[in-house]
Amino acid sequence: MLRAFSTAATGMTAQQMTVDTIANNLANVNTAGFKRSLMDFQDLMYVKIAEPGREEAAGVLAPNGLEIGSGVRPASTLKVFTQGEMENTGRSLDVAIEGDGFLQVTLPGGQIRYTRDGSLRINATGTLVNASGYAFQPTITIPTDARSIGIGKDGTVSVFAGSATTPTTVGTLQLVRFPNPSGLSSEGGNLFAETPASGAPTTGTGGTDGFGQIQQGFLERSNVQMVTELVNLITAQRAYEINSRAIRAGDEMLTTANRLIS
Amino acid sequence: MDSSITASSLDALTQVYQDITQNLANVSTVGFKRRLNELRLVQDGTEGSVLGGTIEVTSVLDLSQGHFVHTGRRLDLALDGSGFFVIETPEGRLYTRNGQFNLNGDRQLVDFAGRTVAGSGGPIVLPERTSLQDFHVARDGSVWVKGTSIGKLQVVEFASVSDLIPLGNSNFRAAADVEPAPASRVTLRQGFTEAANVNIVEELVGLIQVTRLYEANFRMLQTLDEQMEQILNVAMS
Repeated sequence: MLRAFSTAATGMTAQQMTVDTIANNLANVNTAGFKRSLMDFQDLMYVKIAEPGREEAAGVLAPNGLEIGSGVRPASTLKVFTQGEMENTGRSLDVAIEGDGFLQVTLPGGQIRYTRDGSLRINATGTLVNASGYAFQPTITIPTDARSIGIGKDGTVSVFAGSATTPTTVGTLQLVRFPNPSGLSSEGGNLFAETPASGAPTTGTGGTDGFGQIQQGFLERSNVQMVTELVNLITAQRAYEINSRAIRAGDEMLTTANRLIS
Repeated sequence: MDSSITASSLDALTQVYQDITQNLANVSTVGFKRRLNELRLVQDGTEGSVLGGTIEVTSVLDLSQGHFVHTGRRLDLALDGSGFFVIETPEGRLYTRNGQFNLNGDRQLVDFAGRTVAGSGGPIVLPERTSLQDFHVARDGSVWVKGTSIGKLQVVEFASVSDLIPLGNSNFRAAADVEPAPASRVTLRQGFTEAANVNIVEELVGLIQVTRLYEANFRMLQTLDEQMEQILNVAMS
């Protein structure tokens, strides 16, 4: 009986974690480049009381065993890297990646991080940085007299500087790709970090070798679907309830047993 | 009904209760298969006795299909029909209905623990310079990247449910001396996962039933106890 209590408790913990994940997804419904997470659950070890196929009499094998499960455990959170909606912002420094790939930024310590949030800024020295002020890799500097900035589908950044009538190329936004993007670790601030599970990044140019195209004037919205998340939320809540109901049923059974003794 | 039946049926009901909690705890586990319970009276063999005996519970895996949940993840595969994915581990092959796969650093298709998912001609490897968007799994399990076949997922089936031993982590192993056959009546769905086949309402009904039967059995035990006391009182007075 006590084992069943802890089994139901693992069920409640699991649903609680689902609600936590859904809450985070919903909170980021307007975060550019955000990728939603899914919880992956697995059943826990089985306690074997009798093996199936044991010999019950000479030549007679039991068709069924007796195993009692001990609940559920969260195995992993899966990041779902499906394309988010493209929103036309009209801002010349907004870029969205249509397809596979990440942009790279350098942290002040020199480490590289990866992002799908293409909301670019120009800092005081003219360098292209992200919303937190981290410079994009490779570093691109916009001349101070630039009148307009154009970003091509392959990531080429060109400007009309001063009174020039022809554009000058000032750099290229490079894309990188991972064998297993789900294995990237989420660092907050719309950034991801490489892990042994994600594999090593390969760099490339937008629109070639399966890399996505870069779209200027667009931002990639979060891939969170409000309705899906709400449906999942209701399911998790009900599953939580039914697991607590299982504990209550066990409690009632024990009460019955206790009444006999008293 | 004598006290030995009552006591053993109380044990059996406790076990049924444990199986129900296990089913409910795993209501969100991808590819989980619920357990069905069957209570059975085993006679003790005494001639003319219908009262003696014990109640045994047998729990059977219910391999019926779970419903499909759309995730849109290209590496989520669901099996429609009877069959299992094959996972290669150092301890031998394991079988699972949980098709939430990943790619590892070498671009190989692996399960949640990083173990290789078996293809009919070796592991499935996504070629260099291609993206996950190009990864297509056909309904027969063959894997295509940009129109080129890169292998076929191995899907097997077992002759009998008793050939499967659950290990937890959504994995099963085959019972000794059992070799599964290639699955013949199964189709794959990409971008979907198979939900647990636990039906909350059914389990809830089971839960109420168990609680009430438990209560009734205890009441029976109490009555037997009181009768015994009365007999003793008569005999001793």
